[in-house]
Amino acid sequence: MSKTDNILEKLKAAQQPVIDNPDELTDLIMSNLPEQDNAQFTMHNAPLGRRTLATSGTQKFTMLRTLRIISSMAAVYLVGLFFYLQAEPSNKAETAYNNKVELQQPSSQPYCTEGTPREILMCYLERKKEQPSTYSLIKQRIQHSQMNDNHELNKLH
Amino acid sequence: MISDIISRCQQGDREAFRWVVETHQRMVFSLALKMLCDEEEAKDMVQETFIRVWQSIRSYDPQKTFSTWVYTIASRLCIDRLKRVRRIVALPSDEMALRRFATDGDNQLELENREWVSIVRTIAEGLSDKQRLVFTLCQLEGLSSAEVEQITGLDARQVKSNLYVARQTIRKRLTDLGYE
Repeated sequence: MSKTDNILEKLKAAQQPVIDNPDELTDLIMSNLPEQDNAQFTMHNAPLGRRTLATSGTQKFTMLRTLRIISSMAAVYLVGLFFYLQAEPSNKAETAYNNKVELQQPSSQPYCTEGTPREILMCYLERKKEQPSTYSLIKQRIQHSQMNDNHELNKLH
Repeated sequence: MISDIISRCQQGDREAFRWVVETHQRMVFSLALKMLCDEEEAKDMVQETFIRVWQSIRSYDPQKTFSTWVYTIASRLCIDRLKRVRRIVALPSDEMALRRFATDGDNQLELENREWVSIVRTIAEGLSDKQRLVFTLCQLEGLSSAEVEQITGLDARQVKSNLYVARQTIRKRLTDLGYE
């Protein structure tokens, strides 16, 4: 027999813990007894693997956990959206130097107002994607006017 | 006889319940002391357990053994308490108690409560709450696997695996302390 087994066997055989003043403890318990209620299968008489009915504490805990999951998902979605929107202007800046890109006029319909919130959001994102940023729009217009001026000068000469 | 007393308790007889407390409080105290490793906490746990027993005794199923049912409530409360308190860590002085106990030739040694606390705190350090419960019930309280299954709600395989891991952890701990 190994030393570990020996220690465990000795512990099993040793005198079990005792309450130093059992009568006092009994009196204390009896004096603190509340009224009996009709509590049925609660958290504390349910075994570890068979908790069926939840107490209000558990319900609160479940609700908090659900809220936490929902807020985490919303946070992840918003962070994703933020990065997505941040990535857009750089693409536009690249296209601003491309002379082949035609100037796009802003849509005649300024706001997306119809449809479900998801449709409105998708419409907004589409519009945002279509519209070049203000800076690149100005730059393109300046380039355009400079080219026109050069053209005029060449004609005069 | 016990069934008569319980049915009296179910009808609100406090004197009958006093008998229940007197006969079962040592059993609950023993489990709580080994689980929580604190004498005052263990006494609080005894009180809390019997208040729960009193409150829910009407839902007691006579098909089950009464002491097993009381153990179930006490175990549940101990696990809840363990989740709230800090991790149980052995103190440097605890090892002395274990060394004295291990080297003593007497196999039916009398242990004081503080010695129990020191020994359990040393050997069971690092066990999860579930492993600690299964180890305490099976190994230190000497309950059968069937009783432990009923108390914890775990199946036979889970009880066996928790006990195995607990024993391996304790073996490693004792080896580290130079007991192998």
